[in-house]
Amino acid sequence: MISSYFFYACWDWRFLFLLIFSTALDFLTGIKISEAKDHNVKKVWFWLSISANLGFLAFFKYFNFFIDSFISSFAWLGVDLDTPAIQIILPVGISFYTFHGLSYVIDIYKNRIKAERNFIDYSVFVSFFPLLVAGPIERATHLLPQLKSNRIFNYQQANDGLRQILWGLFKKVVIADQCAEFANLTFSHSDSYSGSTLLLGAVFFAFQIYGDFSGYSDIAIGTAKLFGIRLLKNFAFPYFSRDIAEFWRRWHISLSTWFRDYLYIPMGGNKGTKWAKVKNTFIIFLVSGFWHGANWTFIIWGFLNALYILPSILLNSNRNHLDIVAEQRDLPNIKEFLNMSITFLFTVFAWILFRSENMKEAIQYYSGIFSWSLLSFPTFRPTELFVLLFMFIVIEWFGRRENHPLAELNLKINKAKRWFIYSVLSFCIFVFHGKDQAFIYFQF
Amino acid sequence: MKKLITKFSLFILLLSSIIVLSFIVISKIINEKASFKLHKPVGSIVLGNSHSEFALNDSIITDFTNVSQSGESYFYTYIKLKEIVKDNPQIQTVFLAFSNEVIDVGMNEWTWGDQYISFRFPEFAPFMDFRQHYILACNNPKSYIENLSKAIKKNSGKIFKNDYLFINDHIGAFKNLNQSAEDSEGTKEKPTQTNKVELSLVNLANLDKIVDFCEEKRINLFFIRCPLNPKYPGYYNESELKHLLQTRYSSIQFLDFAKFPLAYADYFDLEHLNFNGSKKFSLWFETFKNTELQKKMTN
Repeated sequence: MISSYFFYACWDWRFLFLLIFSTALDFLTGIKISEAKDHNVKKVWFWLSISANLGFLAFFKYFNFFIDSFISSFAWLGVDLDTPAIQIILPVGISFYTFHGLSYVIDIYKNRIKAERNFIDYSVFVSFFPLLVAGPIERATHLLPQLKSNRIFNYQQANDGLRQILWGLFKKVVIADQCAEFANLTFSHSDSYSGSTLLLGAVFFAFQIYGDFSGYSDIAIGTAKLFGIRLLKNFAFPYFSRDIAEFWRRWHISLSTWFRDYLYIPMGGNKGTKWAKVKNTFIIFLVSGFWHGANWTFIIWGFLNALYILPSILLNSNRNHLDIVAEQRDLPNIKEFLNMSITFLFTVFAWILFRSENMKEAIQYYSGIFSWSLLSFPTFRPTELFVLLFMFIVIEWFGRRENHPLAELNLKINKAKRWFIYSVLSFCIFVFHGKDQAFIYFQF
Repeated sequence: MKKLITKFSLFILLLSSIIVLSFIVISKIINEKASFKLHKPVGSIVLGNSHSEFALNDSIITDFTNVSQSGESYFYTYIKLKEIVKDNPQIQTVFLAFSNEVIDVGMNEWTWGDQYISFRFPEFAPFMDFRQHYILACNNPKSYIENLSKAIKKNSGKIFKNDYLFINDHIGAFKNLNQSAEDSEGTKEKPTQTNKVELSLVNLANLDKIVDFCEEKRINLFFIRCPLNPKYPGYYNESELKHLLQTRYSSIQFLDFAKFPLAYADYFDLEHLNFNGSKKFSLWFETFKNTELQKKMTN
């Protein structure tokens, strides 16, 4: 607990008090809910916790957004509101640890778990340092029992953890940070580049965000394995998805399943009419977009993804691809390849909204792509990066059956070859490190 | 746990060996193929920092090339000089910028400071000997390791592109500053510096190497102090400078143009000439080089 709090304080010690307060509140309300005999008392404690958690999140994350939107709406009606400007700093990881607390309280309220009586165990569940700032979003039912049990050092698990950290570092330093260089250029000067260059920039961003976020998740999961703790899986090779529904089952899994379990299912989920299913899906995607940030671009991004998934809901085909693509084969067939390419292209178009600072910038980017210059050669063609991306895709493809590609390599090839691959990856990390790009999801 | 730590340590050892080995191989290839051939086969060059970089316009001065670069300490100048002379054996005369700041302890920062090491090390790393690597690694290990990776990346890129030309803007050239003294912030009179006089041992040691190298190659070496604004505040160590010139470097001729008559508007700031200033000074220097300096050399 002390290590985790120290880790958090290194970012900004002032918000450590908020984290401790939020932890203590959920810990106490959890006990009160558990102990309450009367359902109404239970309800009061439950809603106190929910309101406090969401209140903190709303204040720190969305206050500026609501104020700005409020002023803009009045300005649109011709009324100029003179409000004092307050610049609220977003505490790192607030969205993640708030969701930990919420799931814990909801699970107690729904009698899925008993309240934790040991404050240290509970606070480690909320603030375990590998997952504190960018997830994966854990569940009390999954993490708390592991924290409470006696852990003994497991060589295989620790070894696998190191391999996963190595792969995460490769994704972050070599793939994401190198892609970021070009993606940042196209997104900051979208008016000066041709359509083909902008499209390439968006593709680079797609790899950047994947490498960045899933890389962090791999580092977090790998680090936890060194402590004998297994965290929830967060990514399952999402760019090898054959449709958008499959993509969302493979991307940021801990958040998707959180929304499924605590929002989608309580709202009715798949039950009821088709219209209810569509409505629930749209709500989930809009909330998910809003969770990412206080900006219309995220909300529209969520809406666009809901639109993407709509046909599969209407045609009842959203659970068509539950297996691993080409599971028994080395290569996909043409249909699978086309499906994966189309799905990837759809996600690339949605990422443009995610990356843009505002709607104006996003619209400019889209209109830049859909111009005649789309048929020209891109302004930049970084051979080195193309080679790295090719190598990355190949390793991911051949490792798609396991939790991370190096785990699959571990099973299939001999020690000398394995060490050679680890050396190449580590060498790439050493050579390409140094651009110091912050993790994208730290802002959420 | 013991097994994991042993394996991990072995892996780190293996990785370090691969990094060192690849750096050695890359450096060897670059060393063999690098070209420091000047654009024209001149007989004299000027090396040094921003003072000479902005003062001597080599399009005006005949048989002369300016390869000075802002913020360059003698540590890097020595490496550069050796490589340039190797590929340009016709060079007979070397002018070396020598003014008050080059003996100051601040030059240590110019040698291994984060910003300087990251700019120069990747370029010069293949040409450094073990001792030079050791100096940088000991004085700024973090930056050294960070930039070792840059050096590998940059130089392997050169090998893949088959581009071994080192004479370009990155290595040093005459630069002109268009701004004039009237509108430059830098010309505002600064309070006289009361710095404690402390010499840069590393810069002087490399200056010694430059002197020895020129002597060995029978190259005429001149120290040159380019024109300085009358308000220049850096004379606080003038007596130490004079003392060094009279003792340690008594065999080297010192061309002191610090008080060269120029208008206020010929300066970019207190220590650099602007384009007009460099033009006036270079025209004069051209005559000086072909007359008085010739006489000095023949004597």
